[in-house]
Amino acid sequence: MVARFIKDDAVAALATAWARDYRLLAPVREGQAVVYRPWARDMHPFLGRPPTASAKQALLPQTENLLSYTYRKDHTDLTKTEVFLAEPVPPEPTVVLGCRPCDARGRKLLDRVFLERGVADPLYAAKRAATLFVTVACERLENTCFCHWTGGGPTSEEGSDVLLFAVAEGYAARAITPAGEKLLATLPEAPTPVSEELAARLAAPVEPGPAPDLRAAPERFLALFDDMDFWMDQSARCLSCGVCTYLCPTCSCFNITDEDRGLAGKRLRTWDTCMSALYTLEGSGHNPRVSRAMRLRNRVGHKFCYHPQEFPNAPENQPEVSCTGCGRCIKSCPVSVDIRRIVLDILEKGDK
Amino acid sequence: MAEDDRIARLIAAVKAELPNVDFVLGYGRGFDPLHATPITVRTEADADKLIFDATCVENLATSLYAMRGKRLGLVVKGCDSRSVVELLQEKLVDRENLVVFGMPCEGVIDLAKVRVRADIAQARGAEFTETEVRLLLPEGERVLPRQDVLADKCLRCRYPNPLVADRMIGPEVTPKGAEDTYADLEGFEKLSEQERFDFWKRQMNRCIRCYACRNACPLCVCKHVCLADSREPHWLSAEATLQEKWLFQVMHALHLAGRCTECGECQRSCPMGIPILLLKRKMNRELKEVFNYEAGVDPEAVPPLHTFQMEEEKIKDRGQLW
Repeated sequence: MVARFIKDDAVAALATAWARDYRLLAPVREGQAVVYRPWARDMHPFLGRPPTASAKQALLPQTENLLSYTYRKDHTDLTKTEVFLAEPVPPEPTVVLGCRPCDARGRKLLDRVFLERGVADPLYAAKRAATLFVTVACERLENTCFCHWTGGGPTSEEGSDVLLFAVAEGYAARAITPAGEKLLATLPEAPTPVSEELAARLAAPVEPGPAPDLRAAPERFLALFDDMDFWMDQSARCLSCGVCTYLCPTCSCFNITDEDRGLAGKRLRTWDTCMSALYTLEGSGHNPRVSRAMRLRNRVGHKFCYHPQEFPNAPENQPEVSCTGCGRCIKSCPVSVDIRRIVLDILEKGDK
Repeated sequence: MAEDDRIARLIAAVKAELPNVDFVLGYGRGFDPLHATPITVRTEADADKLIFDATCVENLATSLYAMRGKRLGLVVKGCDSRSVVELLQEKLVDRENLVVFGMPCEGVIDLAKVRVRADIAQARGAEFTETEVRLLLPEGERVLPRQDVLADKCLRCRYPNPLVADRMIGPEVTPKGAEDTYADLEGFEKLSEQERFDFWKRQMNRCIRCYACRNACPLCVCKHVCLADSREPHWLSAEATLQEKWLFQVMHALHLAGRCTECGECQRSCPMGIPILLLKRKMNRELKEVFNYEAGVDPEAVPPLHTFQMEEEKIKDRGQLW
């Protein structure tokens, strides 16, 4: 098996080399958080823990400029105003370093939304084509991890261009795609002990334990749809904040706003969250999802019912859910809402 | 054993009140032994799931305003009870519709402090004694001095016993401190204005505008009609810039001045670990100095910024106004 070897102390040098050809996003520690930052000299990439927010931000930034506009008045005829539009700058080739297999798999689910629904989103498509994921394979499952429920795993290759495996004194790097191979081209082939260590690890992967059968989840979710006591009990603790959706590698909802500054302005696409009451607030003042119970129901339903219904797998297979089991929504939830618990309760109580 | 007895008494008290309330909000076990999670108790079987220990960090009073109109039972620690008192002071909750279960508290753990000392991502068990936190980790047992991982607010706690309770589940606890000296602010206040601003720029840069800080705040009752979300008038841009992030925190701190009881939920809830309680502590210190006032301790007191006097004792603005 071909693998390259990156010594621990060579990670920063490699990042520096990549940063010459790419915009490089690398995880660094800030307080207790691990955040992606554009590469700068003297940065210390931290690969030891999954970053606090997912790598989604590389493809769907929190703020994205859709266009800029300027109004110009015709001073000879004040009834006339001209509008000048400026398109956004095309994305730079980008490398995301240090995401996890669950993040990389998020790409596929974002593709579903932005590329595979009849109309491809040109901004997303451009970023998608320009972005490479250098993923760190996981050596263990944290208490909040459940990638194996969703078709992933600690060493899943799906969505990654390069997969790094922690070995003694560094990383064994495997190219998954030709673009990934290009990234690794300058590195020496891994010495024999490293290759053996990697082979041993791949032969005996982390055993994530049993996963529930999710095939009935869409149907049982719908059976419980109008059971507001069920949703009230699930959501009474929910604060309606945006932690779960903003940190999620697959949540794709956005808002579009025009930010006017006099005669100039920007049309922005920004992250939106279905946990907010404003998400469904209509112009009339009516809000079809007025309670937290309805909103939490939507988040769970979207991932485990509506998505599998829109992109169905063969009925004998596990459904494709729009969740990669990264567990960020559980780990960072201020009140420990556990989407696994909700799904298990749906499977149990929706069985009428 | 004493703790088990206390939980049994809490459960019995909750069961006794169940016929009088729509439901009780209390603590249940979360996804692992270091996390509690708020639970709704409607039935006796639900009540049997109640827990109370050093992991019960959430301030359940945060849900009170959103649930007004319901007849509610609420489990509170001493610090949480101050939020209830403040909400009563501001007439934001109806005392008649509220049954408070008071839990005198020896302090809760700050998981951020635990994480600095131990990798708890795979914690299998946790035990809390008077002096220790015993963690069961995959590599074996890890014992931390309890004092090292208690939340800062607990180390200086003056109100471990709930200030308002219909059913107090004792025994009462001796307060840790007599007066808050705000010693923790000293180092920060010594910095120059530029250094302080640079500090906040660094910290706020990683804010993701999830508004967990706002929504976790028991007194931030505007929630989704907050001016951070208002389009008309358009106070804040949707653009996630440092300026907008910082502006919101300043507004939050100012709106909480003289109301904040320093439960710390804003900071604890921040997924990015931004030390925003510092801003509130600073405001409260000023309020203490100017108005000799402390929020949420006296249900009859009027918060200083809810009223005015023609001549404030410590504000020398006469002559400058005219």
